[in-house]
Amino acid sequence: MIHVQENPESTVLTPAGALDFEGVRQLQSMLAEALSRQKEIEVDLGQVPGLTSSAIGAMIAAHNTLRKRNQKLRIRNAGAEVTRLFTIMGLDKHFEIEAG
Amino acid sequence: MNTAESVARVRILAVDDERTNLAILTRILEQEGYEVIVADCGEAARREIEQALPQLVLLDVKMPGEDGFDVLRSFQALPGMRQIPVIFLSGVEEVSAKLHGFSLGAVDYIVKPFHPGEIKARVRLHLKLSLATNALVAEQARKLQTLQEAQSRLLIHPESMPAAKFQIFWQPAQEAGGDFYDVVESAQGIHAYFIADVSGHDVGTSLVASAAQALLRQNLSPFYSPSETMQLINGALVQWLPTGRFLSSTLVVVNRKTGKTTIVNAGHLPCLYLPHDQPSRAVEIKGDLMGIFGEATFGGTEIDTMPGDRFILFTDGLLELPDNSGWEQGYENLRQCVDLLRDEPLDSFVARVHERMDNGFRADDTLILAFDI
Repeated sequence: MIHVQENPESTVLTPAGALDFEGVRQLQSMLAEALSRQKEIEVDLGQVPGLTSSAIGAMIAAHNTLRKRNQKLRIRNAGAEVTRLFTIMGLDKHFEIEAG
Repeated sequence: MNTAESVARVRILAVDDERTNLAILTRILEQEGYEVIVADCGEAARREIEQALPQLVLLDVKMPGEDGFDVLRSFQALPGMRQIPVIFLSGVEEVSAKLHGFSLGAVDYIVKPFHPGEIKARVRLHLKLSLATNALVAEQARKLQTLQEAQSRLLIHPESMPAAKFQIFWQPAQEAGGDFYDVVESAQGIHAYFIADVSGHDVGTSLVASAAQALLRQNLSPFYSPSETMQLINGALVQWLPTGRFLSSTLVVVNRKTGKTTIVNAGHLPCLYLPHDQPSRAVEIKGDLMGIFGEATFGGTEIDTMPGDRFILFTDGLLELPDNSGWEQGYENLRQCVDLLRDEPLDSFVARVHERMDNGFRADDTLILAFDI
């Protein structure tokens, strides 16, 4: 289940629950839809327990598309463990990460 | 399948805000036996792409609101869209507009007013090219069915390289696993140990693993520093990998003659270093993931090592649940486990580590590569 909120400048996606195979598929499709609106994208991770590599891949793909438009992917409410994972992966340099 | 059947199945999406143009395009293409679906704006086009799955798109450039360039950009975020050829239709003849269209990924650019014969010929050409490409990909996918078998054959066994003093524990959880390792004698008396985890779990994952392994072997050389080797592998992967796919990895190069050990990290969980006379510690080095950023950097560090020291490289499947929740606790458990088993001979060490770490809930590949200096 992924909640979508449209703000004037951004689309906020809030997944709730584990991002398993089906969850990642849904995230990919909603990121694609959000990208088509030409706004910045925020992903609120406050309600997910962890992140698979496929979920991270979906966010990287969205980030790369946004970067070409000089826009950014923002991560909101990242838990300490997810933040540390992003740091190890060097993604803290690329995503704007706001700790929860 | 006869020709009439194969043509009847080809669906083309025409996008133009002018209804007259859509009617003309429909007539021309239907004469050739294609099924034509139409859309008069970007939003309708995106809907048709996802619902009708066309094999080719004719896209008008000049439309009110989102123009054709914007629409093509938005297509690229749609799953599977990269494989669908897009031909621009435009009244603008300037080379710069055409080049802009090609830079966005269009396969062709037809200037209006178009001739029906030109439309037919170009559509036929790009469908042929697309079919040939898809056939090639299907053929490669067929070959990949035996990839896991091939992959395990490619993985080097510790007995075949005793001087490298390594042991492996490997338990793939998926048919097409993303974890792999390699051990290579890159120069006389110098061994390189590589461990990597490719994102995702499908046939593509195994293909990436095999490609990365081949790249490693091509780029390991005494002329390159370990960081440069990683840069070279990354450069090739960035061009080759589909978007969203990446790999994390660690490369350790050991020169037993000098005692120098160099560790380079690419977004992978820190490996553990267990000196012969001290507790284990994490080798934390910043480095980007591979295959995503052309401008990536891979940090490295050099440690003066002694005989009896041990390194433990592993993938995240060893630590915890597949979504990485609780991985920090898992990492700490592993560190303690390694200290506890420090006197275990290398031959039994990796299996004992796995045994102690196994929580019975393993949905990801598990790979441990340990070696002694």
